[in-house]
Amino acid sequence: MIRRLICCFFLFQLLFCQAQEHSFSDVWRVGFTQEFQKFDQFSSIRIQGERNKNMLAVNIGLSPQKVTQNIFAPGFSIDYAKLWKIQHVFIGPVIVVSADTHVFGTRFTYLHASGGYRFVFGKQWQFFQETSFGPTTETFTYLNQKMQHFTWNYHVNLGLQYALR
Amino acid sequence: MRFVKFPLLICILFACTKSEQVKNILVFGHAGMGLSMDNSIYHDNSKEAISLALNLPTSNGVEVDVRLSADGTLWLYHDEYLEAETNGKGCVSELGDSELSELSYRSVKHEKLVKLIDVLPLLNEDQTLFLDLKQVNSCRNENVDFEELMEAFEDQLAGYQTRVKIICSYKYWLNDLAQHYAVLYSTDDIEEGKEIVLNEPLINGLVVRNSAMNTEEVSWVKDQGKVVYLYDIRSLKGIRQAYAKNPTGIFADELRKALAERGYAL
Repeated sequence: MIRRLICCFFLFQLLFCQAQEHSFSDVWRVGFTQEFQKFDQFSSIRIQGERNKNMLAVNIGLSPQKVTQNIFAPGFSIDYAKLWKIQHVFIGPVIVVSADTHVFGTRFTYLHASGGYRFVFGKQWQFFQETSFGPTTETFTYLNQKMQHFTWNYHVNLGLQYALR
Repeated sequence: MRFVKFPLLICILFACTKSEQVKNILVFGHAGMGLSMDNSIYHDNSKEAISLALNLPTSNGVEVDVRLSADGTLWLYHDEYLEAETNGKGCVSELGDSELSELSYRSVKHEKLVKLIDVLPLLNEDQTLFLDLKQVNSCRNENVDFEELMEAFEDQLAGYQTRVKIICSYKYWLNDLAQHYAVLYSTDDIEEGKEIVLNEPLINGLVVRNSAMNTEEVSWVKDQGKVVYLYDIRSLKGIRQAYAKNPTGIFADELRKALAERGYAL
């Protein structure tokens, strides 16, 4: 057991030291993401600011599937990630809060919160993949009856972003 | 201005105008919000799923699976054996109401098994409930008693007969059931279905798997003055394929998408 702990310590220290070698500075990135989740898919544009290893981004998008059904379904999300460099890629935890809405007979509102990981590849042009999991609530009122449902939801994101610096 | 025009152009390109044909197709939730759907918030045939399906705007109703308990009560359950989906064992037809009321689904929310009489009041005006009759007691490999079943229907559908339609896959019961209720025959054998349509004048029509029936066959059934409902429709692509066949209605596993695809105006 002690040997395992020592191994783990050195392994993490190795990764940590590699991350320390990489110097981060303020960078702004703009990009595009495609999100897949339980109820819908969203195509969004995003703007991300990063300082050191902290990345905060805002995404605004809509559901292309709903567009084909003549329904306007905008979505908004904020995500925060802390990434470390390991070899040629960046990886780390991410937390996301998001909301989306559409009107179909009545207004449907979805609120999401989730946590997961983000994997980033590239420097000037960055490709990233993000998977997170968390609660979602669906709320709508129809025929004077308020319906609110809670469910666990997955969010899989694929994105491409460009450094403006 | 260019940035505004571009998304608008994309919307116009992808937006489609719904035909009058699609707007007239009835949409029902399959077993509530979908049968064995991982994306569903609630388990199929649960009271919660049925309530949600009936409360979605423009929903025409739901289809549920009914089985007769040992006490002569109609319960909602799809599979042959209870161990497949619940914390119980055996068959619905072998257990009494007190035992069945203790059971819950092995899902995240652990919804309880529900009696038919508990979901009937959830029906809104102008909504229809389809009862897919599961007549086989798999534990004994025989059908449940028909007389007992008819008694259960008579007692437990009181006041709702006009808003309930029965789906039966056992053709020897069709005629007797159709004397009292609106009855549809469920089959994937189209030739057999056509035979039933021609030889059983009392039945309302057919319930057929979407992949088993083409546009011409749907049209033929409707030309005979019968209705045709399609089921096993699990994606937006499947919904669009089913709508293109112009059936009387569909039992959608993705109810939200099916309703949105049909459009709001009815």
